[in-house]
This record gives sequence, C-alpha cells and structure tokens, in this order.
Amino acid sequence: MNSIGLSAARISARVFARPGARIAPTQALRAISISAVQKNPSAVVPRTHDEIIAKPDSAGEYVLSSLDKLYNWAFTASTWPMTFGLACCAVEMMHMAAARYDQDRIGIVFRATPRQSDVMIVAGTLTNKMAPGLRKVYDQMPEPRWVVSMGSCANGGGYYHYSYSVVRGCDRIVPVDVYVPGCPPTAEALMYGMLQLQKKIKRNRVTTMWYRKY
Amino acid sequence: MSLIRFIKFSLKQSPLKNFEIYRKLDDAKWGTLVGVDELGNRYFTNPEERYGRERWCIPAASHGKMDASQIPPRWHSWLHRVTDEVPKATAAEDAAAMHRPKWMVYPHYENYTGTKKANVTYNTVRPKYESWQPAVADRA
Repeated sequence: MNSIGLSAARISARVFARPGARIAPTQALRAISISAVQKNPSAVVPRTHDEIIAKPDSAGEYVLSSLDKLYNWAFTASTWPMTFGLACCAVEMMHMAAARYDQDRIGIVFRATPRQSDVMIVAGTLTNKMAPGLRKVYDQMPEPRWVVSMGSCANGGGYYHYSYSVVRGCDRIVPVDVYVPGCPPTAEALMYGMLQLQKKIKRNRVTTMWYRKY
Repeated sequence: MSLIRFIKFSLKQSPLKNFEIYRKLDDAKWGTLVGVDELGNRYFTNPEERYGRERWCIPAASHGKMDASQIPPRWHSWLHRVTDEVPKATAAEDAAAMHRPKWMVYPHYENYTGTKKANVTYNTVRPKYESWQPAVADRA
C-alpha cells in the first residue's frame, strides 16, 4: 500500500511538474518530486486522451481520431446500463430513471439482460455470495463495457467493510470506471457519475490504439 | 400543457437566445436575470414556473463542456433554494457581505477528474494491514 502511495505521488509529481510550482506537501515527497524533475528536465509531458483527440499531430492521427470521435459520439448517446441493484442504492438508481431526473433524455435505458447492455451499475453492497454472480454478468456483457460503482458499499465495502460476508469493494471483482460516493448517493450524484462516464467514453481511442498496435 | 408553455416562452425572446437555451437546457425558458458568477454562468428566475423549475442557470461553457461542478457553492445554494441571498459579483464584495471563509476558493473551478489537474491520492502513513501473499505448499 505504501508503494502504491509513493508511485501515485511520483505520478502526480510528473503530471503536475511545472517550473516554479510548489508540489508536494511533505518533506519526503518534495525530495522525490524535485529529484524526478531534476533528472529529466526535458521530459515529455504526457498528453491526455482529450488532447490527443482534440489536437491530432499528423494526418493519420487526424483521420483516426475523427473515427474515434464518431465512435465515441455514437456510444455516449446510448449507454444502456445493466441494472445490478443489490441494496438501498438501487432505489436511488430507480429515482434516476423516474420523471424528475429522467435518464432517458441522455440516452440511458435500463436493460435487464447483460447481452445488450454497455454499462453495469453496481448499486449496493456486494456480498461474497453475490460476487460470482456479478462477475458472471460482467463476463456476459459485450465489449466495450463500463462499470459504475455506486455507493460506499460498492466502492469499498462501506459500512460493511469489516463484515465477514461482504466484498470490500466491487473493484475486487470487476474493473470499475466511475466511483460514485455517497451512502446512498442521490439520484443527482449518480446522474453526475453517468455524465462523467460519458466524458470518459468520449476520451476513448479505439482506432488510434489499434493503429499504434500494428 | 407543456407544448403551450414551450411556445409561450419561446415567443418571448429572440430565436438566437432560444437556440442557446434549447441547446443547453433541452427546454424553453424565460425569466429575469438575477446575476452572473465569476465563471460567466448566468442565473435566472421566474416565480411563475412550477416549484423546482423556477431557478435555473445557463452555463457559460459550451454544450459539450458544461458540467454541474462549474457552479460555485454560493450560487449552488441559491439555485437549490437553500438560501434566497444572491451572491455578490466580486470576491471582496462577497466576503464583506456574506462572510466568505478564507479556505473557500475564489474563483471557483470545476471538477478536474479526467484532466491533467485531476487529484491523485497518495498515502504517507504506514499501512494498517498487510496484504496476504499466498505461498504454494509443496505436496510431495
């Protein structure tokens, strides 16, 4: 865990490195970040997916990123969630579907089968008994697929973190894209999480990555 | 009823304004301008609207870039009817009138998740528990 923390600090030092900027809060971290900056002053600042899509470098990249944009646009307009309502969060998830927040207007339609859904909303406490079921449903979803972890229990066990029968976060079972905090999160918060997921889908680079691969 | 409302509000202002409102809010809106925050978001009110719809915001950001986190906290509480007080235009005015705490950022910034400025967590304390490292017993 300590190593994870340090690598995260290193990443942040690299990402936030700017001349004259104060970076790390503690002595140790400051030493790390300064040494990282001093070692390679002309280090290439990594571009985010947003920037690569918005400002392509070459003609080839332009074509591919345009294809990506089209692909992403088609996907963001219809993210059909597989409803995985496990506990009280599911009620808030239903509120998102109801008249006030009306998820239909941003193209979200609940689908009761994993074969025809793009997103899985894990809403509620994931117990050890349910975990194989969750994984099976995730495996049945077609690519590309996304997972939204909703509420404290799905994020990290939450109230039941020290229980003998609860998985300490659904990210131990499936890869999670968006974590929505709250206990339970409001329908508004979940809606915001879905909009964040749409932003993430817009950063998707399918054809560009395919090109880099071959 | 909804169609009548839509046409009524649409006829009250220019098509250009209507276009922006349709594009950003997916609805027809008409009301009085209450204020503009430091990011350029405009806040409107129309007390004749149904409860819950009478205060709204037209974001300064374009359709693709607008985000709920672009609304400053003071304006958020006005928008959600926590308070009727309208935040002041500048930081100094607002601090004088409404006792803005020093820790509160000004100008407000949006949620940077997914950009280079995103918050990256790290841990500086000793871990409270160690992960299990399974060892395969040699079965002869």
